[in-house]
Amino acid sequence: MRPPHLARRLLDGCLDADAAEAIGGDLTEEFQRRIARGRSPLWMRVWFWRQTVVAVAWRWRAPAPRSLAGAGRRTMVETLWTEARQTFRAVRRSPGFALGAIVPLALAIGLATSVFAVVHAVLLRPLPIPRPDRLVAVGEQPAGESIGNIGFQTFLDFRDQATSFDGFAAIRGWSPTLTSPATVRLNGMRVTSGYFSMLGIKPALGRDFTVDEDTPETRRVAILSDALWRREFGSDPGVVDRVIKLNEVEYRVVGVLPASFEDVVGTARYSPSEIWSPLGYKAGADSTCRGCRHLRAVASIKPGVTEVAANQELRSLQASYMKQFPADYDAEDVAAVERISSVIARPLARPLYVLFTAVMLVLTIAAANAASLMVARAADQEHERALRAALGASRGQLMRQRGIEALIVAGGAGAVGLGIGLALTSWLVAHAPTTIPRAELVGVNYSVLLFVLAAVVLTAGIMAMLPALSGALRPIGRAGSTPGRATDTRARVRAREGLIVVDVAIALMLAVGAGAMVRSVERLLAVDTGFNPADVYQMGLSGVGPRWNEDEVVRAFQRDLVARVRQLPGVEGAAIAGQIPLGGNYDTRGGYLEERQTDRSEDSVDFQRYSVTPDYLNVMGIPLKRGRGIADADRGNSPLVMVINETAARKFWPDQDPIGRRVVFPAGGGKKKTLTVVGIVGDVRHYQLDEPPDPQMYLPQEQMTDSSMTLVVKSPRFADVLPAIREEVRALGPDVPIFGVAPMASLIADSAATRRFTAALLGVFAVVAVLMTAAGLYGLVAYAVSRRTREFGIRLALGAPKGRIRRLVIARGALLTAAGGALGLLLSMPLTRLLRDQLYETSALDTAAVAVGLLALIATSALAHAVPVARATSVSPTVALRGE
Amino acid sequence: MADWLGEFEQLVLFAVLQQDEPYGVTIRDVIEERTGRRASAGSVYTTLERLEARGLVSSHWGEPTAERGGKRKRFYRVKPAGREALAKSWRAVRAMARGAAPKLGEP
Repeated sequence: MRPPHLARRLLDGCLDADAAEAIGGDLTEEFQRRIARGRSPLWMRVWFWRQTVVAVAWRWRAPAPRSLAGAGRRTMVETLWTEARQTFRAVRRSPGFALGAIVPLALAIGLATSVFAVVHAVLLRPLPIPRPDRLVAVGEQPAGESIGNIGFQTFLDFRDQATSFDGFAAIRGWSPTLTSPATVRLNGMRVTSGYFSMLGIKPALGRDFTVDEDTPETRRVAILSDALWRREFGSDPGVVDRVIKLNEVEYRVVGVLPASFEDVVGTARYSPSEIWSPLGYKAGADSTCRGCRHLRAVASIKPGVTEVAANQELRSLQASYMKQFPADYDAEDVAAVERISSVIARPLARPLYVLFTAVMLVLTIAAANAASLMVARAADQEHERALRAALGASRGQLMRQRGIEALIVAGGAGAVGLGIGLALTSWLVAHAPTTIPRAELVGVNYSVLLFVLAAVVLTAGIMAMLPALSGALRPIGRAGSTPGRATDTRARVRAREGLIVVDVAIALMLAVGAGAMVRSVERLLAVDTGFNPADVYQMGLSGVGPRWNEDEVVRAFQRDLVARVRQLPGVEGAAIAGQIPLGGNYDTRGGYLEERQTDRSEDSVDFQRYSVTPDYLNVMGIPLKRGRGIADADRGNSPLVMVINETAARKFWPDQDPIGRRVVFPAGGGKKKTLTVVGIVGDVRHYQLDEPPDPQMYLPQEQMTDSSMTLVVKSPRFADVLPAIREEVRALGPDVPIFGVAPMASLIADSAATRRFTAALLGVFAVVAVLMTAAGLYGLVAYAVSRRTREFGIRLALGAPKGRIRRLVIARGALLTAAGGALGLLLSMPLTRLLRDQLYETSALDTAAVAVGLLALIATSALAHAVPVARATSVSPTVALRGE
Repeated sequence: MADWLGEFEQLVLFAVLQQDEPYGVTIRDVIEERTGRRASAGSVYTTLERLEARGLVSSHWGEPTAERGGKRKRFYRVKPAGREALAKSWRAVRAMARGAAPKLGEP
């Protein structure tokens, strides 16, 4: 049993050799004896540490024995203040050291602060509702998948039968058009009554929905968000009981939510809402069936009930419904709960943890470099310290000075870093992909300040401790030893070399990770989306209100609009679709193949449905593979047709010709529609670039009308024709809002946005890490060369070839780089595992990424060596010998 | 003229005087045994170093032992000046205690 290694190092590092030997020996002896007498080793290790700390503290307090000065008594604060001032002056006297240590450290702290600010807002900050950890999303989905939808009847049964919850609400997305006072499209939700009380929210004006209002006949009431109230109603306190028009239907405003309300449920499940209305479903009515899974559910778990127990209860309830109504449930679906906070954070949690890890690694490099500079500085100041000790400075003073110096440097870096962090944070928020939830909360707050403080203290700790541990602070007994001549102790050199190995390893890790991410984004953006986005633009149109319930109205509008837009000069094509790829819609229809003639759920086939006008496939550049596309002749009174994609053909009719086959879809009220396949087109990526295509179908709008519309226009001069298009829309449908005007290419870019953002930041971190490592390595090599100037001069004078000197300098650095590189490759594996689900068709240890990383490393090393090597080989012997 | 000694210095000097080959561990053992007071290695060593600097004790290195992790013992001896200083301090304490000791319940 040996005493703690680190404690012994500390003794050796902080005490002069004699004291370290005598005290270290005494403590070791007692340590052994007491353990031999039966003391527990753990207890004795603690004892050893305590004795070590006390011994070091005693040495700090005591004046050096050869003290000449009988300094008057001063209070601790006075002493510290004086020392701080002295140290500050000392730091100012060596601006090279101060800048070299502060600038990289400040940069690293700034980067870390900004990433932490985002991590804090998105992942750590509790949701602003009374019981954030009890609020869960509930849904039915295959095990392990993200929380899905639920049918109304299942929701009712859960609400009435589950005992683990004290609140249960069903919600659905709702995008009404406010037609009075102004025409704007709003983001909203329909919710069951009791939704707001479950969240613990009371309206600031007016009241909550009542149970009686949650019916099909009485649901024309609305609650507004504070922002909507301010924006559209001029903060009118008399808005309660006022009648407004939504989708051309009259609604009465019953309440306005407090300004502090943040729609976390909307953020988690749809998008943040500004208007709410009761769901108003009646059990047994249309679209309330168990299989009609278009609702989402949220619930709050009772205090004292665990999430697992609540989950379990729902699962067993659902199992019993499955037995009762086997046709309505998919055997794969299980009921599950997930905290709202985790639903919100999930899409970003992994990238953020990756970025945070990366930025902390950068901070580690910066701290290691600063510590390395401190070691070098301590060695350089040996002479000065010996002198001061001789003049009566206590060891404590000398050690404290080092600590204060570390604090000044780290503190300065922290202050500058906070400023950099602030600037970067606002940049991050401004340039982040829009998918960052709660981005408006990213900013400076106490937690962020605390983070900076912690970073400063930790860094200062490392900077102060490392020189002590490497023995660089060992007080020198005698002043007058020749300054600058003392050869470095091996411990000191080894400490700095160790730091460089760590630097190199981290830099390589980051470079490999960033490289893999960049490759991944490249591959993702190179994915064939199945359509040609060149010059194609989309805009959302929404026909709402009673008028638009008539299919013929919608059709006439669509026909006229497409015809008129196509006539506009500069427009090459125009079409309307119910949904478009990557547009964020999830319109899926289930039916069954006619030849199977069955209603069983396992025989059902699901298609993503695109209701399109005839020119759509052309405008989008989706290639026709066989048969024909949607034609003008496909009208309401002609045979029902569908065009399917290749995935559907392969999946549903393997080894057969799908053309002429028929698919049956339920059409409400027990009726059925039978569609005939007339053509096959290429696949498109619908949800995400990295998701393989599902079966898709294209139906003529004339036969399957969809009043939620996206107009797609192909035009090389879109900006010029946009006003004319707006004019045509206004002329044909004055009550039709236009929203979401964007080039199709931007949908593709958005789909890769989070990854691209992660890749870009990782890239920046990697570059910073590599540069810092280069600086650190340069510092080490340059220092070693400056210490050996004399030696090199003599060698050169004695006829040593320059190549030999060059090799002398390079050998050590190259060895360290190689060691760091090997370590970095090893460490890359766990880091890149973190990255794995961010990567797309790229191995975590991507060959190219590793190659680039290694190249960066070699370049770094070469860069760091160039100047010192040149200096070492150009030493003039006379200069070297004149030396001191 | 000999210096005055601090209280802890007196304890350490007594401990050194009492033993044949006193070093850190044994000095601390004696102090703890006699006074019941824990003395840390750091405080004892610092005191010894100070006493040595004032010429009251002298020290020499012993042999390294495995038990001490290959480190040498540092043995101490009280120098004549040390004896004198200790005697002087001790006399002062006794002189001051005369007549007052019974009030503390001491003989």
